[in-house]
Amino acid sequence: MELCDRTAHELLKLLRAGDIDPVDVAGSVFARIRSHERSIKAYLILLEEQAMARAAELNDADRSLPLYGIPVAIKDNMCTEGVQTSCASKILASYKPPFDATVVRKIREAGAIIVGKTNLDEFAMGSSTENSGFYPTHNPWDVERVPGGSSGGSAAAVAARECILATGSDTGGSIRQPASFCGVVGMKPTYGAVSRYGLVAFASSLDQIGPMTKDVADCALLLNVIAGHDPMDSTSVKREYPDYTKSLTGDAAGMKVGVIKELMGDGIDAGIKESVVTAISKIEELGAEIIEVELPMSRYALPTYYLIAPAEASSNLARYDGVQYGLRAQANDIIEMYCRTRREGFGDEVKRRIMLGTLP
Amino acid sequence: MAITRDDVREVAFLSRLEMTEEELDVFTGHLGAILEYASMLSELDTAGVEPTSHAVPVKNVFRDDIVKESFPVDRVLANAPAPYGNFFRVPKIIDEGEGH
Repeated sequence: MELCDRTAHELLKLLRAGDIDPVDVAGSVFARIRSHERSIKAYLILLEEQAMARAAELNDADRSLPLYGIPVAIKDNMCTEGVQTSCASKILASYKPPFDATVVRKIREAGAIIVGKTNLDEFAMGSSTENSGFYPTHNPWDVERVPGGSSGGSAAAVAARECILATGSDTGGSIRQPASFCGVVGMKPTYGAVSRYGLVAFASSLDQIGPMTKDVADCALLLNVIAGHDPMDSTSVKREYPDYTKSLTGDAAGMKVGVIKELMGDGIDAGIKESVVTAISKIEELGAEIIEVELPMSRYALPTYYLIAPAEASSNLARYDGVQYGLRAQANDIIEMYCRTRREGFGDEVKRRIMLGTLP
Repeated sequence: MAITRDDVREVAFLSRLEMTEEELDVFTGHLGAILEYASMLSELDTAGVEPTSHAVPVKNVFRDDIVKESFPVDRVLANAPAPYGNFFRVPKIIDEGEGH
């Protein structure tokens, strides 16, 4: 077992005891990237030089930092100061933000090492990472298959052990679905728990950033770092945020877990259903009470999403006009410049959603 | 109500997306299919349902009115496709022939 195969909580024990150094962990992650990335393509940009320099610096840092020496991959729709943040779109291919997203700042301050920026469906619109404006990402378990999306790059990077932890963003399943496709843990936190400052906006009333990790303990560890009120995001909620790792007692007694009847019926793949049923009995073994709940409105969730998300995307993506940053096409007047820039810069799925959301 | 090619032409212009005639055909089909799918929402009576915009009631978020340093102009302009001094340069907006 290589260091890159271990979880963050395992590595933190070794790092704090001085058994290994941050350089060992980062070196192991980049060795894995060198051997596997060519067939997976989880990343849009790798920051090996910066990461190794940072790892060396961390030798003198406080080892009790919550993510001391842990290599983290960042989805490429979260701003990183001076480093490409493209949203996998040609329209932002050259964009280097002048600031860090709040989650990126918090992850850095926690002592982590940023490995690179991961691939996604353009502007997080899609469920397979095939809609990246640059190239598709492949599922590490079978490179002929998709990793899911839109956080498919992060999910694949965690599954292939090309990072220890990753961030994803979820508007309509974009963390949870690729996590399930790649066999990793992914969580969409409650809206308002994690700041979106510096997350490139897709559908603001739904967008949330969350952890993508190898196990639940790592998920809690990363959530501890990124959750919290942020005055830079007016939707972020001011409240006490617990230490999520404290909840991991292994005991589920007294908890009630609902199984949604409508989602367990027709249309589920037999293998998936079997896994879900196994998980349910495991939860029951741990002491939780399982109850069946009915959500008769659940069938309306997807059509509702197809109205709300594009409407918000239409407004949010209006800013890509070739004026302040990003791509600009040559044209004779300003309207032609807007129209041609957006034609050349956006892929078909993004165009489709912008138009859908612009319909009167 | 079916969406027409002319509707899509208008929406593409409102969206500031240049589009060929062939693309208009393709997108008319796609948008029509999505709208048809979403039309199942019209079965629902939402008259008594309050709109939701946040799971937690957060409103009127203000910060203290303290002057802070903003981004230096050169860093903001570093990403501009055509900076000009302290400005963003754009192609002409008003046709010179249309003088008043």
